[in-house]
Amino acid sequence: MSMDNGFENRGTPEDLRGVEAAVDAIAQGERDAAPVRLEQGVFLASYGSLRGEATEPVVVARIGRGMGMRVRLAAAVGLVGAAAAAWLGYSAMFNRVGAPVQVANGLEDDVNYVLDLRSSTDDLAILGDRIDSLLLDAGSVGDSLKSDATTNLLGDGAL
Amino acid sequence: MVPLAEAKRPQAGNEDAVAGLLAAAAGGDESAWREVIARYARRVFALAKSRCQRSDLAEEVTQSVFATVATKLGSGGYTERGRFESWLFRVAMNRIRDEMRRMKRQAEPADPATFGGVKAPEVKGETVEGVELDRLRVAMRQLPEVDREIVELRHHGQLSFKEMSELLDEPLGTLLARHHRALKKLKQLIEEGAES
Repeated sequence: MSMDNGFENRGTPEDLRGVEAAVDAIAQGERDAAPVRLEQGVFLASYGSLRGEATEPVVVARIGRGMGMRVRLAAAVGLVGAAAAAWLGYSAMFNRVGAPVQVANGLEDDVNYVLDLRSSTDDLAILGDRIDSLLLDAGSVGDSLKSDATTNLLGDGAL
Repeated sequence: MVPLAEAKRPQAGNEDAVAGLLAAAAGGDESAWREVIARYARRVFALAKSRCQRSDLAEEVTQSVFATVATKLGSGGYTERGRFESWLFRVAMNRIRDEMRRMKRQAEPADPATFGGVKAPEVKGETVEGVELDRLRVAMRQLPEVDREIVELRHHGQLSFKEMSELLDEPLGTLLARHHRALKKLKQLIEEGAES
């Protein structure tokens, strides 16, 4: 007999055997109380892995968990809704009085500034058009001056 | 005299048979894998159920454990050297501990005042060798973690002390002493429960 078997067979002290037998009874009860589908579920969840295939755990009805998840989801939605409502209320309250009006005014100023900028850009475009027309006019004047000078020269020669 | 617990323990013994089953299963033999599951699934389930106290969770843990074992076997990541049970239950214990940690994270702390006026229910249920099983269940939950682990591996998982020694990496004598000490604590807790 090996030393290991010696240990296995050494046994439990007399005064603890009743407790040990009772623990064994509970453990046996747990094994017997396993769902009848246990082995099949384990097989379905594991056989693919044996062949290197990805497998998912067989769905086990976990009502408590499912309900818990739904309750948590509902709570999260409620929390977001409450936060949104609080924020809207907060905004509405401060739009009526106090500093946030300044914030709103500041925003309005910014919008006006952008509009002014855009209009000034428009003005620049107009200015550009005007410069172009001035250049055209200047060109015309130049051309007319040239033609006058030529006429004068011809006139002088003719005379 | 062979101890009661030992007499009831499955003499899976035939390590050669287990090795043969594992080799066949690793090669994709469906019936061999079913046989492995038939031998061990309920023992893993009982261990998980005792710890989690929930049948659905224990079933899921059992599936997960065997999926892990199958993956290792199928990929050649496990070499059988007569220590399959130790390995299987190590995988199981790790998985159970993960699940317990997850459960603790999700548990909402209860106000101790809530339980101030609550008394332990009067239990007059089934008895074995003069021990009321309901009282024993309560006592099991009161055991320190390390003691409870030893008791559950030995009785729910039906491991031998040799296998437990391999699993927990502790000397046989230490485990034997720890097992006796755990049973003694259980007995004390039952007696204290009965007196109160």
